[in-house]
Amino acid sequence: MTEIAISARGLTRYFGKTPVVNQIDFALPKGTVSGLIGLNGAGKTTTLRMLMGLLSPTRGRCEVLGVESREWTPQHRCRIGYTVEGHFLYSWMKVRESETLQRKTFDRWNGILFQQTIARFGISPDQFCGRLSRGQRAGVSLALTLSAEPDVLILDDPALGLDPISRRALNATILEFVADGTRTVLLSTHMLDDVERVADRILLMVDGRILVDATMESFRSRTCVWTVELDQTTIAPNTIPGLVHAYSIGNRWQFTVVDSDQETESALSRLGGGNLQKHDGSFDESVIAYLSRTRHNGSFLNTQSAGVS
Amino acid sequence: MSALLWKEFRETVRWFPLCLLLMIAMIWSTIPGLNGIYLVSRLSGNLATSVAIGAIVTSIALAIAQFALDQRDSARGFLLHRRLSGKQIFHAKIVVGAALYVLAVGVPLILAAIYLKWIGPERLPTSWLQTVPAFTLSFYCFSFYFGTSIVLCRPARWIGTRLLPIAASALIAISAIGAYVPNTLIGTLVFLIGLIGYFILVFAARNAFMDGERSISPTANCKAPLSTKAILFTSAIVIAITAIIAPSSYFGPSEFFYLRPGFDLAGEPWLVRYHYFTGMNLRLTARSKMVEEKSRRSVEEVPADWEFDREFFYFFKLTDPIENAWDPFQLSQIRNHAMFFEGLGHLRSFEFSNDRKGILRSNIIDEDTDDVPSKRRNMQFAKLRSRQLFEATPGLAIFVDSHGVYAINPKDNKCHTLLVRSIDGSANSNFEGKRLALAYQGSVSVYRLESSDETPAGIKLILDSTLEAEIPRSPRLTEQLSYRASDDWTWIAQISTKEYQVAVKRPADGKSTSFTYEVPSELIPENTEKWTVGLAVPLVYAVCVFAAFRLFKMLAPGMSLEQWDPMLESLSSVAVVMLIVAFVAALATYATTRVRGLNRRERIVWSLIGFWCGIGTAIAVLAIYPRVYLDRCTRCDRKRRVERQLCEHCGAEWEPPVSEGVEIIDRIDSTVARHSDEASSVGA
Repeated sequence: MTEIAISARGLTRYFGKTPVVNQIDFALPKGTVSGLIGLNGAGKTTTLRMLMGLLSPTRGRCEVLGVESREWTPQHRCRIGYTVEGHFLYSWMKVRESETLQRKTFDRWNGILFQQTIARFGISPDQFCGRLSRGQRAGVSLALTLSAEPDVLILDDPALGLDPISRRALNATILEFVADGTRTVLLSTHMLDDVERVADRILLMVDGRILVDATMESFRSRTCVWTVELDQTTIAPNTIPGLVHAYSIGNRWQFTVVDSDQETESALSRLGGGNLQKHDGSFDESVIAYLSRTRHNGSFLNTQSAGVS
Repeated sequence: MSALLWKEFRETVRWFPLCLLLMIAMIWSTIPGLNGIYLVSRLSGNLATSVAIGAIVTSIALAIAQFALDQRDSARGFLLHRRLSGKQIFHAKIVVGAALYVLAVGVPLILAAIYLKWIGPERLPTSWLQTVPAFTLSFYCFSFYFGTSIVLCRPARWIGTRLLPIAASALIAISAIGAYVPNTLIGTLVFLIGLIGYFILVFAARNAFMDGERSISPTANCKAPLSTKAILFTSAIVIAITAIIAPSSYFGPSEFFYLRPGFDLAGEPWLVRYHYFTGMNLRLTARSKMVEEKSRRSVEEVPADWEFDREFFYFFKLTDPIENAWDPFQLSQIRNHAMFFEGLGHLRSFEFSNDRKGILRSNIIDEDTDDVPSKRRNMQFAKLRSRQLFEATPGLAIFVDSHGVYAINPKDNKCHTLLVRSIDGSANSNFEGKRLALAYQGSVSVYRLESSDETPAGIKLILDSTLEAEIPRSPRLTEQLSYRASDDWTWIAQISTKEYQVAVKRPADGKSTSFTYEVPSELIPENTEKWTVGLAVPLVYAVCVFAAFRLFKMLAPGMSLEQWDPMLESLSSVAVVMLIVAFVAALATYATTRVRGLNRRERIVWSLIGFWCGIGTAIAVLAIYPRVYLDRCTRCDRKRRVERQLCEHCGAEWEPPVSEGVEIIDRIDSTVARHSDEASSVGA
């Protein structure tokens, strides 16, 4: 049986009358990298804060390394690495002082790893954190998190502000981190190619719910894209089984469908358009189709494109 | 831990200079001699007030510096996620906060104490002990640090209950008043109650910091801890009482009155109502001539040109003077002479060159013990009680205490005993200091005072007191007594008052007659304050007052409880109002408990608390319990609380969200891919 590193059961969080996270269930196996994807406001950070015990769930429970988040001891906390959204650092501290604070308040500390990591970002230990660029701040934040050698790494938008080289380095770091199969990473990000590159599993949140909790292979294999040329401007969504999202630019419609079968093809044929084709959907397209279910993904400037979910 | 302490210190110390400067400025403005002001007899109080303002600002500033920034989500996540527990992090914060507070507040106060020690007692009758109340108050004012931290850490609406804990902080700070309570036992009790409140506040602050938003959000797992409940409840009660009393005392008629008997120029006795309005001088608003026939009790306005006959005695009871244990007691200031009992027990005479410049002379006045009974020979002046000083002859002060009369001659720095006798009350005469009236148990004696300076300067003045008249004293005399003597002392008019009755003894047709004069009700303005008290004060207070009164009567039957009378009378007269307010408070509390979704038993308990503790209970319920949010139950279709796992109506679990038909949910026993190979290739 697979050992679970992070799990949630019926996890729900209301802010006022609004359920920001609504009864989500997931279990992330030990030794994997999971990508948590969702639009702004989908509930990713709220979920991570509940996992970290920083926010109490309205109901439900969540566990990391087998201990419910509200009951963590300081020693248990040391086994979990967490980068907060926005890469918070005390601006008046020097990088060296930040390291000292972290080193003295964690059980394990890999000073060499810290030095190497900040060196990659071209950061001197004597620089004030407040004067670092956003990317450099991300570098220090990651260095502080990784150097504590945690068993579980929970990263809230770690690529925010990173340049392409640093992002690639971050991806490599994550993969190295889990290479021995004993460590687990939960990565919340908007960078779909990063997720595609490093993640074993994907958790896709839409409006506080998890619509996808699957391995990457499963997700790729179960979603596909159909294209067809139609004169219609709108389509009744219920007519196509498994339709995740459809949108058009001009008369060219693109349908992202889950678990496509004969019935799907028949439904699409009944629309009466020409040049009906099936493609293996790219990871990006499939994810965006899910995310577009609640938000229009066309241009801000015109209405030439139309979307149906 | 040391790293965290250092972090807190570095983060907070930037505010330290401002706090220090503020405290120095506040203390500087109070210390006599530093600012051209020589108010030493009220120094401890003035210093405590200044220090309190500075200490409160400092406490709040430190709390904001330490807690406000760390309450941001990202900062909180970064700070709390480490090997240290929330408790340890909180302790690190308060250690640093307290250390900086002690430096900012304590160091200037210590310097002030050293200065006061240094300048006194020769230049000014000051002592380092005068800083003790300020030290006490500064300790209790640190409660604002914890109160502010609760405000910052406990999420609630700013225009709502968020600021409530500040009220509890203020209440705890007020307990420093114990330093001024003359009774040691009661003072200690006040200190102890304050200290208990302090501890509760600290626990509440710790819980607020550790729980963060958890303590107020509607979650199934968290309830407000008892300490938080206690602080919010106390604060709400205080706020409710203040909210009712403050506007009425601010906007209401700011006046008080008293009745005083006196004589007109024709020697007729009048009872006159004095009104004192805020911002205005004393005004004589109404008068009633005290005549024998009750039917002729008429009240009239006091004519603008009406004058009192100034040739009368006005008596003061020689009770213990209102003083505190910290400041020198200033007996009096006659011209540029000021007399103090300073801390060492000596009577000192100071001669100021003027009000704002330095002191020219400082003399210790010794007791002339020749005529003093042996048991009082070694008694220092400071031990004497019931003092009154007035000038009998220019340059010669007459000093009266409950044991006798003394003449103080600043020229030879001696205190001469004129009379040794137990005295209840004394009166200065307005006869140019030539007469002195002293009240004994059953009579009033009038003495003529004469002094002579027959010898060259530097030789003792000789003072003589001669008994001129011995007048029987009205047994009903309590607080006031006015006398007007005839020119030849053949008769004397006597007026004594007790509550709203006046005993009058006056000459009529060559004979002295006595009668009781009932004060006309028109002279007594209605006490509007009692209505405010009825609206604001919780029922439990009234019950406690009555219970305490009964208890005292039972335990100490001989004990005088006169001072309770006005309070009991006032509370009794508004009992109905208090009962109505109590019912309204209970209903309001019940309504708020419904809004907050409490169960039936909790509603009843809180409503009973509301009945006894007033409308503040309703506010407390709003503050303690988070708002309830409801969602529709899919089974029974009734609204159910979102934080409960089971429906409170039908016991149903929450249904999973309706499937959209596009979910891809794989169980974790699916194949788990590893990227170790990819990792090495990407890394390369």
